[in-house]
Amino acid sequence: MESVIFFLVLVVLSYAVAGYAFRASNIPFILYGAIQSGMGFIIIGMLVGPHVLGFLGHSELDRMMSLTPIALCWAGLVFGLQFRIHDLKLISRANFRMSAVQAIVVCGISFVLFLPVRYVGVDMIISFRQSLPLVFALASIACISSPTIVAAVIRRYRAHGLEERMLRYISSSDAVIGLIFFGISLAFFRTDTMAQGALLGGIFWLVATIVVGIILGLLYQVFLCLQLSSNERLVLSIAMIVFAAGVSSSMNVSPLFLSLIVGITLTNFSENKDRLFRLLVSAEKGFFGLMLILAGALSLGFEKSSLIIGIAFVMVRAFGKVCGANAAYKFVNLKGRSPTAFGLGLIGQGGMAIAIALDFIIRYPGWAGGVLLSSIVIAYIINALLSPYLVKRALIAEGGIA
Amino acid sequence: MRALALILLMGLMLALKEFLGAAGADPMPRAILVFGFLIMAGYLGGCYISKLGLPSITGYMLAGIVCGPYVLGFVRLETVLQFKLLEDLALALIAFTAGGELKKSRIVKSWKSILSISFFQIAVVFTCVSVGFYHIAAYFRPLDVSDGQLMIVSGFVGVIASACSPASAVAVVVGTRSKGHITDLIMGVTVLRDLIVLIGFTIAIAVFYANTTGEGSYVPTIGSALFRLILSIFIGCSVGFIIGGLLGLLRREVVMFVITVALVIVFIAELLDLDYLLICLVAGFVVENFTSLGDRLVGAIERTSMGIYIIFFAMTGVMMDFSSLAWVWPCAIAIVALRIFGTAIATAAGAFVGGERNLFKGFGWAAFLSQAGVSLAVVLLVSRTFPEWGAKFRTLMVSVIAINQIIGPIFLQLLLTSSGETAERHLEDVISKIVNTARRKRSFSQEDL
Repeated sequence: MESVIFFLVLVVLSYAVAGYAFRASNIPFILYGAIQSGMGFIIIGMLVGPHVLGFLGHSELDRMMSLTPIALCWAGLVFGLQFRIHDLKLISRANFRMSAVQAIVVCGISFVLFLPVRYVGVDMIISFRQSLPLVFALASIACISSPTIVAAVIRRYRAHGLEERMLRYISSSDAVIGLIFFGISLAFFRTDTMAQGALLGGIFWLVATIVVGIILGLLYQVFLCLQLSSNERLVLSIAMIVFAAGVSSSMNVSPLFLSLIVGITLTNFSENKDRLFRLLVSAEKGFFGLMLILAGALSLGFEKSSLIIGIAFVMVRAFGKVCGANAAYKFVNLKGRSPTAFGLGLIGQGGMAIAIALDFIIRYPGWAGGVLLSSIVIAYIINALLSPYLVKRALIAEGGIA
Repeated sequence: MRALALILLMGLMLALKEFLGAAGADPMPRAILVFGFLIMAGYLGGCYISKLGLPSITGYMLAGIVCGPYVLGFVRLETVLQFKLLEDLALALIAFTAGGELKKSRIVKSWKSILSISFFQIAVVFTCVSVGFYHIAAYFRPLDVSDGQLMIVSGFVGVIASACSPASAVAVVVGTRSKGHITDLIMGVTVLRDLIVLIGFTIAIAVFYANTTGEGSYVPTIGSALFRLILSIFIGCSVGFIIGGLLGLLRREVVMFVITVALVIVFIAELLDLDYLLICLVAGFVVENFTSLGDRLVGAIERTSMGIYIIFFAMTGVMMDFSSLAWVWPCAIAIVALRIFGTAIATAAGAFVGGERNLFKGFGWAAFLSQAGVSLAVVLLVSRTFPEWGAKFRTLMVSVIAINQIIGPIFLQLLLTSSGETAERHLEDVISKIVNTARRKRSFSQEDL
């Protein structure tokens, strides 16, 4: 219980401090990006974790990990609720195409370049089969950008124009490609990939996850159709998320992917999705903070391989984003612009990157999970420091900022 | 729509139960699954029951009973036992609310009635139930004990019968949004009575341990128990002022703050061997009566109260073992009847001494039938202290508490509705006043509205 109280106290204090920081004027730009990305929570997690101050030991972290699916389902559901087909039709197709193309290119490049990751382990070399889930996870996380940092820089400099809109839309939507890729890969890796019938097994679990997600979405849609007061809506929303987390843990499937399906089902069949979305977003900070603190606490037990992979991830991802942006520009026939600057402007990583890493470590708590989480946290910190400058540079290059 | 939700939910749980049964799921995923399921099932149970004019918490309990291990088997007992932290949190928040509902100005007006009713109830119920049980047990022999031991058992039965449940009272009062003199009496008597039983039982156990361990004097043991109680009150006061100060600084995240404070209090109380219910009760009382932020605290708790009540009372329903009722029911029914009889006489006498001349004198007994938390804790303690007859004693008393917990909220809600102090009745009164006034004037005006 001490760990639960400690976490809650940390989150409340963190938000109080962050709130004052936001209200303070003249914050250095580098800190501005760091605060917006939630980097402070990661650093707090590192400090209180078992490798520095030791307030949270390994056993407490293991207990907290069993509750992580709830936070992941919250994140997946909030994300899925934003994908209403009717609203998406209002956004230009060019933005979709650009988002999809750049995400796929980044995924592909990261996948190929990270195939030799199994040789990076200092004390052990894992088999190709064992490394595949890690490679897929790295590729999925690589395409996820940070809409928070992009929106923060745009707001700070009052940017406008085509580039600003493109950055905003693409950074918000490329995570769905990453999530879907990750969900599919986890469904296939649920069974032994080299066993007979593995392909059929993978398809079965993928279909099962989608079907259960749709059923849960319909169940929640029925609940939301009842005449509910705001308290009832809050309580039932929490119950739905916890139930989905329990279902995903019991079935041993990705809670992020399952809740994404739930969210997409709900938003496309429910008229009440706006109220639910606002309700979930208003309480999102607590879960977000807890997730980042947990990631920080778990990340410091790394070997040198995590540092190598983390830095390599930053570089591979930057390369992939530039190539992806170039490919996307060519695909939609945008000329006279600076795709390199645009690609680098998408370098920031959203909380979804950490969420996928946590989802992965629940399934693979050994070397692969530890290395992935540590690498992603290192990359997250580096990208959080660099991305505000790169977003600003991208906007200046296209005249979005005077 | 509710029926469809219920069918979908139960169907999904049935499918998962078959799947989990084959897969042998880890306990924690099962606990998370059950937690979400219990809230949704409890909510639906509460909706259906409240349509019958009964309190929602009865519906939450029935949902727990139906989904529990003795009926449908969706929820296992060992899974629910993992929710101890949630149960402590629920009780802490309920104690905050109970303290927050005790408004100094209103308590002072009714102090004579509250004191007289409380003391009468404890004395009369204890005497009635313990003497009655002694004679009934001598006839039915539900426990294999000697006559001497039967006297001790009867004493414990009397003590347990004297306690009632502030949790149920708070849940029904908050659920019906009742306000008024009778509501104040009910809250005041329930809280005071539980407090006196808790203090008395703590002292009694201290005396018992001193006797059995052969210590010369039990004054130090009683002193230690009283010291812990006074320390709990002191900490409660300090926490109340700290909460009042911090609540003023927080603009958002009030709910998370309150939950954190409740958990911290539970943790500190366990560490120092204090009573967290008393600390939270006093803290809630202090915030309500000595700071200007009582409404903010109670409002924040009420935002989470529905979920807390659902999970707490659904868990209570899951843990009710009706299978054992088969052999203890005559005795259990007899204890329940004796308790109702004793409570009725005591309430009437106490109300008369306190100068109550309203509905409360005749029907106030209906408010004090619920039993939960403190009673269960006492039963568990006694059953562990006396292992030779403790198991059968526990079965008998848990059955009694289960019956009281089901009928108690129903009678309480009936009383509150009859007294006209529920929000629904207030609204009906206001509407009928407007209509009558309009009929007299033959038109509506702004003043009427």
